[in-house]
Amino acid sequence: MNRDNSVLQRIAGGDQSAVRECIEIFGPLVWGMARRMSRTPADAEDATQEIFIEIWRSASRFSAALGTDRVFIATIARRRLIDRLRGKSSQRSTVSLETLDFLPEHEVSGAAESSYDVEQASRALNQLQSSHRVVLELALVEGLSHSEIAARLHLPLGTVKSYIRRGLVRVRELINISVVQVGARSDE
Amino acid sequence: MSDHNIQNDALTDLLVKQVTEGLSAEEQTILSSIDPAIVAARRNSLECMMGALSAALVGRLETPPATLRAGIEQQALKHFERLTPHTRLGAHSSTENSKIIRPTSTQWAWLSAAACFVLAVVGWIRPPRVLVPPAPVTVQLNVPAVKVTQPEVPSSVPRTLPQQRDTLLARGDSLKVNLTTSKDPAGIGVSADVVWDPATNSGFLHIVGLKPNDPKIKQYQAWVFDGLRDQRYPLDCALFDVLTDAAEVVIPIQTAIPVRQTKAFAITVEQAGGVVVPDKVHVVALGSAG
Repeated sequence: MNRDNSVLQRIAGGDQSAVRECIEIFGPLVWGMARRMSRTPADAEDATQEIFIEIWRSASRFSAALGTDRVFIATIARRRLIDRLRGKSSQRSTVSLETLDFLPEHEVSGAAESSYDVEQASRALNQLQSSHRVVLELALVEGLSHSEIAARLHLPLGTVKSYIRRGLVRVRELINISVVQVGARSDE
Repeated sequence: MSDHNIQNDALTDLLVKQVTEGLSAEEQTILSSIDPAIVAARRNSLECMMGALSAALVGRLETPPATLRAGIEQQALKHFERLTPHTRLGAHSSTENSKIIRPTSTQWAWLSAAACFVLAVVGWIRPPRVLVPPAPVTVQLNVPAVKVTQPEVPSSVPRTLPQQRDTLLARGDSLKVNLTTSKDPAGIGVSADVVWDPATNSGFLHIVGLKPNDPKIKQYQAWVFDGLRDQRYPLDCALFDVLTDAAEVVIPIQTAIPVRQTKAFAITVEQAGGVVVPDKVHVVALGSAG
């Protein structure tokens, strides 16, 4: 994606044509996620509309420094879908969407910046152990809780938690390695 | 291990739990005791990474129904209408969140037409996007032959799925696998084969005699087994429906991640929306790649 031509940044700037473009480009992604993480097609339709409302509202918080348009939208979608799955049936503390600021990490913590895109994530997933990838897939795509994943895969709860943690840490390592390699190539 | 590393590990554990499952009150209290700036930065980074993973994993991408697209467009228009010189698109409004727009019947026609027009224009002029992950396709079949709307292409390029399958089959580097049906009722009278392109992790599933399914209750799902991966977790390569008594169908199949050693293919019956891991209760057909 050309980050100089971010659809979200154009939306934040009031460009109405970017809104339609956003629906056309990212509608299938949001709809696909909603279908996988909703109990009924009607739920998926409601969720998709909610997600797009959130996208219009949040576009001004988008920063290309931390990820692409697609990553930003997938992040909003995932959070909204998780909230819908668990919101009414759980008293557990989840994170409010309003707290989600796409500010580069270094701006607040001084830590190394990581910028995410879907291609990097896909390559990292391909390098994970199957068991780690499947557990992450169940958590991220189906929105299952750790205990639900344990029941589905007939694994101990502790193993599921360990797989999720190790899988995410490994993905982060692989993406960071990828970023460093790309940076090194561009320096040549 | 230093105290700093231990604290980092504990924070990672809490954040992973928070973003995948939610925290208990006790865990939330612990998290609240950590520097909010550090927590926010780490959590935002983790959330973005999980967003990227979700987009990569969602696999099959379907165009939303026209009525839904129209509703989203109408909602967006209302959002714009509310904007004043003092507000921007990023500002929150108090009334939108709880109001899901469902256009009235009189609005459907022009909204759908507008959506279709945008679809046609954007679909025509937009070059392929680099960041779209390989996506298995869901095909709803309501005629015996699969019909897929595609942009105009030179006449030398096969346009129908059966033609594309034949072209792939004729190539020397493709793989053909005949599937054997199981004793499951869904497999009775069915014959199936796969033509697979190992280079692109894609191909075509050709099926004869598969019974119609109710997409709201169950759907057919296709899988490929990678000999170099854990055999408990085959890779999803298609989710599809048969809506009428179609004698013969061809389904495009593709995996989201590469298949390193093609070992076998399977068709199962799963819950609506598909699953990440097949429960193996209803296996329609299975075939080894040799």
